[in-house]
Amino acid sequence: MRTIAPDTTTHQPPSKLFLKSCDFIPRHGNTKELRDWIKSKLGCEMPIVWSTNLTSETFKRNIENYIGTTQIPLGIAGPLLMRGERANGLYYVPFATTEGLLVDSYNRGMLAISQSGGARVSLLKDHIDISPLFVLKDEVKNFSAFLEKNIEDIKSVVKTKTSHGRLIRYDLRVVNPNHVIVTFYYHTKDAMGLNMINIATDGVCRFIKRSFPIENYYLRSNFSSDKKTSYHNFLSGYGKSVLASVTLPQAIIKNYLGTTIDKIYDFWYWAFISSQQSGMVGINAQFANGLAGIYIATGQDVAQIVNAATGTTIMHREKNHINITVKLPSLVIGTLGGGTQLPSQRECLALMNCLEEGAAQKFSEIVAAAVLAGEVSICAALSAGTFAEAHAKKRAIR
Amino acid sequence: MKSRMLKEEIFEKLAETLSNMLKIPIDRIKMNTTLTNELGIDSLDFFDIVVRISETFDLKIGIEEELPPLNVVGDVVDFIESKFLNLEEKK
Repeated sequence: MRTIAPDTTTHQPPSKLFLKSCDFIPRHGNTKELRDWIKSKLGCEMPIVWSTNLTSETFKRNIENYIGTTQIPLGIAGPLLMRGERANGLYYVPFATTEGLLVDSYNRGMLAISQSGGARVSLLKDHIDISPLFVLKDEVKNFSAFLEKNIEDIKSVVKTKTSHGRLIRYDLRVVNPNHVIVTFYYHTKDAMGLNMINIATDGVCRFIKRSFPIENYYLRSNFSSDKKTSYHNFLSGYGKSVLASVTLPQAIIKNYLGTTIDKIYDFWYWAFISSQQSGMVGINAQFANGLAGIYIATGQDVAQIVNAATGTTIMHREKNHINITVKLPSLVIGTLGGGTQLPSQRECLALMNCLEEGAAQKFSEIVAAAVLAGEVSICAALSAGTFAEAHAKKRAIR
Repeated sequence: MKSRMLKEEIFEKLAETLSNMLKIPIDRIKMNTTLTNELGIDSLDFFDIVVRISETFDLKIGIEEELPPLNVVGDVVDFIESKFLNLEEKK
């Protein structure tokens, strides 16, 4: 293998191309050719990765240069008693993770929630958006009037591009006199829908370019902050916006979580203040942990955790109980398309009865309640001072 | 109708319950066996144990009921016995 030392003394480009033909991955070969190339080029064999019985055909829509699969352990937590609008009853939730104690942590929170009467969950919003930027040749007010006048034609363009996605509305944000961001909001049924809205909105942009004097457009201006943290998404929502809450009696906190209402509340208060001092967007304890486990298990777009984990945990105490609420403004998930179509991922969705038509909203309620369980558990452990002790015990296992 | 159980009977039933749940030999469970250090019971197991006690001994354990400190198996036996005593007093 050739190595190259970083040259910090000059910015002159090299006199000839660096790569040789043998450096290139044989992209047009089959899986065997790719594996043979790895053996000869890198002198490396990957018997575990190559041992899978799943072929490239299974993953043809999901991966390029397929060489095998990596193993991620899958655990199950529950029961989680749901009192949602769509998910009602006992659920068991799969987590794919390599982080020891994560499943136990969520399990503990789920049991505390269930024994306290369950998680109440509400889906507040369900839309995902995309924000192309237009470089206008005409005035903004004329562009705005054009969109208003032609909204039915724009919706018709969307219908020709997708049978699942529906354009709900749009809004304008003027950057300067001839640059305008238009945010198009879609409902995407059970799909997470990012590809769907990319294709549909590209069609809309082409229609606009044909019909109104614009210089250019950029399909994704980045204003939607897809897979990025932004105050805009935190405040306005992106994907599904979900609330989940539980009221824990003092006895449950003391008997099973080994702490008290005052301890758990004081921990949350000071952690909230400390998080605010750091400038954190969305203040929570471990949203990303549970989301990552569920996202990987169920074939979600894992990078959407950046959006989904930007949410808030809020506590309110009374004399004999404490109310804990999580708000996830930007839960970007689906039960159709992408990784959710893969065999083991579908089995995980089936475990939660989330494969039927219309299941995405129910799934969002289960995910929110699972995230709530993680907050209950970790805040209890940190308030009781048992967090590090538990991890030390786990590390001691040989 | 629940009848009061002798301490020995409670211990025997409890040991059997714990043995089944924790997949450990019943002879490892004594009155002075510690729940966490010797039996390896963690907070997750504790949820399960309380429900199993409730089912095995047909005892109601309320959501607002704070449990006494339970460090060794004997503490659990005492707790169960006290529940039976309370039931008798209410009769």
